[in-house]
Amino acid sequence: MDFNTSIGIAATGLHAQSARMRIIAENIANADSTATTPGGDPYRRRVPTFETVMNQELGGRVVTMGKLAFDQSDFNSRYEPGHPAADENGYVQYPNVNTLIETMDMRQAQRSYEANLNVVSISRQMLGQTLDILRG
Amino acid sequence: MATPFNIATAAYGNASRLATQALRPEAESAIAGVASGPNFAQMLAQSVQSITETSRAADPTAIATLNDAASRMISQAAQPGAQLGTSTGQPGGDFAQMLAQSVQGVVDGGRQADQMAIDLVNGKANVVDMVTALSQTEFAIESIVTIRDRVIQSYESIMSMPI
Repeated sequence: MDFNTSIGIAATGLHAQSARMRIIAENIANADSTATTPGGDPYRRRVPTFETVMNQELGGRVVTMGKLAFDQSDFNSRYEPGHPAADENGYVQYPNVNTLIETMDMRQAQRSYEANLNVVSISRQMLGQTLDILRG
Repeated sequence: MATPFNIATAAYGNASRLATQALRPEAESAIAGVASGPNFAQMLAQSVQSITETSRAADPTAIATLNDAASRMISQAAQPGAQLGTSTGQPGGDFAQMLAQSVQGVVDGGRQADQMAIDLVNGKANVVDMVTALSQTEFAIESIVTIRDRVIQSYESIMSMPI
């Protein structure tokens, strides 16, 4: 049934967005995770990617989380000579996580999740309305 | 366990019993009008009983036993349909087969959804999977109950026909 297929596809969208939320949570939680040795690399921001996969069982193209990519932008360095991770000049490398960007990503994940939920609820509604013809 | 799905399965078991009861007169004898008079009364009595059974099912143990009984009834209900399907000469055999198949589909889907709900409680399953499985089962039950209602309604209009 097509409606069941669309519910299944929307469910994979929900999965993908929840996985994206997990990565955003990782990024925000590790926003201050520095190295413990002098001159070491801090936490590098992760970027979720999404892939289209043909699902034979459902009979539709579904979305899955692709490979985890790393944000290659520069780390933020701050002058903190007393920090255990400070280099010889007294600078500490902080993760390239911008909490504002993560907040916007989070908002986007929320909206996408909502959109997929709407697909589920509208599909259900359409199925129910079709069945209501018999009840008349 | 007193999940809403268990209650739905219990109610559904009664529903499927009613549906097979409604089918039986047609399958057993070609002259349905003569043979099915008492059966219909019996069916009504059973439906009243099923309503009281369902309303009595407030405590968990009663729900568990009712659930067992319902699954047994559903598997029993699936058998006559399969037998009817092989005898092609009988009227209504195809419909019975279709009904039996859909009943079996609902039962399988329901078991899966139930297992998923248990897994969720144990922290093993995903909320999304559980919700989609439950909603599909709910829709399957709803559709089969609607079909049953229609069958009974058609049967009643035939019975109330003046001869």
